[in-house]
Amino acid sequence: MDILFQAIIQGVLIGSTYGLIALSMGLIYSVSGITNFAHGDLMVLCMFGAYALFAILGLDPYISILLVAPTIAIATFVLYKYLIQPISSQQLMVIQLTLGLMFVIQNLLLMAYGGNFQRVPSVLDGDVMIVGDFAVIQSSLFVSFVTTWALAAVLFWLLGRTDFGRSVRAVHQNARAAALVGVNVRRTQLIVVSLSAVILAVSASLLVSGRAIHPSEGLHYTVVALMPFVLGGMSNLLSILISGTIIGVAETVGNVYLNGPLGFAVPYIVFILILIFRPQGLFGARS
Amino acid sequence: MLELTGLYAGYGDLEVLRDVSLTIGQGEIVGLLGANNAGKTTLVNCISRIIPWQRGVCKFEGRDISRLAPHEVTECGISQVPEGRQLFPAMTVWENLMMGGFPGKARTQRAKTIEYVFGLFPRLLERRTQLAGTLSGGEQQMLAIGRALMSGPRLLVLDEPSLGLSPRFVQTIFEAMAALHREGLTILLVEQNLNVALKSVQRCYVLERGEVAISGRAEDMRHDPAVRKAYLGN
Repeated sequence: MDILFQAIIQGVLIGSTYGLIALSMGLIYSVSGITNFAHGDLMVLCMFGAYALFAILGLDPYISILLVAPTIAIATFVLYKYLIQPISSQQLMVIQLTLGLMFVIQNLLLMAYGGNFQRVPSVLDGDVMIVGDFAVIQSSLFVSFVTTWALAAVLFWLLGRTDFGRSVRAVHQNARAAALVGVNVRRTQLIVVSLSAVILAVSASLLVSGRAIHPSEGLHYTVVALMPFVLGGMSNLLSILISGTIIGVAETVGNVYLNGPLGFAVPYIVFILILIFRPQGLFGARS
Repeated sequence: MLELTGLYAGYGDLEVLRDVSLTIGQGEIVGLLGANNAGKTTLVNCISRIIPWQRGVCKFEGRDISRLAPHEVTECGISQVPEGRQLFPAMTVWENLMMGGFPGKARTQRAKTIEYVFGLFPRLLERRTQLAGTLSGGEQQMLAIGRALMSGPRLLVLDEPSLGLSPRFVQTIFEAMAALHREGLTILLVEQNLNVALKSVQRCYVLERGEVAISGRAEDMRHDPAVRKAYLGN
């Protein structure tokens, strides 16, 4: 029983960060209709950014985020503005482009860092917390959890209560009408895409501490993000976060009770089961 | 106030508008009439720059707006109430109005303009916390007009505001339009129903297959036997 509790708590903590990755995917989708298949690879790129800054300057990942986030935001801005926006009316080409980007990033990282696992030590390495008297969790996971929900709260406030947020929702609900009332649709998309890159970079720095990273992990993260993204109804941000938690719990519980590859399959099974019974996503599509 | 000369526009290879010219004077209420598919909506979307076009010149208050982005046209003072209303369905009435006042200059005036819109359509005040998607057709049309007014336009373009509405709401909408015109707002009204339109505008253009077929004072056209025969069915 203790093991189950431990797994659930661990799953909730790690899953909220999966939700955060999916959330940044959902943000891009909601304003531009684009599903970025290189999302996980962009995140791995951020992780290796943290690794490089540690290797060169000895920076802790919780510090280097201050450099990684703006860099990746600018890179994504340029990428979106000059590569994706010009072809944004052709969905298939955009999908191909993001798939291609996935290989480019992955192979550049392989060239630069080789095929070995790397670690980025952080101040919280090995630090654990005891919850009640049955569960032992890594402090870094707890920090991820708190940061995720704090960031989400800021984001929801931004989207729900500010002019900028309303304009983002307007572009999502009716881009043409948004342009007619005076919203610069392209600029809004660019801002949201950059914002989503910042969120992605934060998720990367949260995940990087306490785990080994590898250049070819990107696709895994993309898929891990795609599941809550789809379960959450693709643009309902709160339900994306909750769905991320479900996927996280499925992963940790699966790994406790089933060994090896079978355990890793549990989240996918849960994902497929939910979709069979609720094809519209867990909470339906709301914005 | 608005001066459009020699406009050609279309979708890909399909040419919809050919050599269309149109002027609207300060304080006028002008009708843009014609059957379905005549190119009326295309024309107003060209003015709003929702549809990009290359040939022709559009000037507003002396300024060339032919190459602006849609949001810049709105900032210039032209506000369109699009066909089919095109509200933000998952936002409340109040949020839709706030979005209407999004452009920088209008933003500082929003509290005052929103009062004005609620005065014009008291129904919107009652429904201000309701989601726009749950309003009736007539209320949605009021909201669409209210939203367009929030940017403080000097030219209001109404694209088929009576489409799909009950006669009672059509009357409400046309009365509101007349009131706005009396207060000095310049209006371009797009309408299919010539009978209704000719009574509410001063001057009009009739589009036919993408070209201006007739134009002139509404008064004269109402009594022109040729127009009566061709468009009014008697």
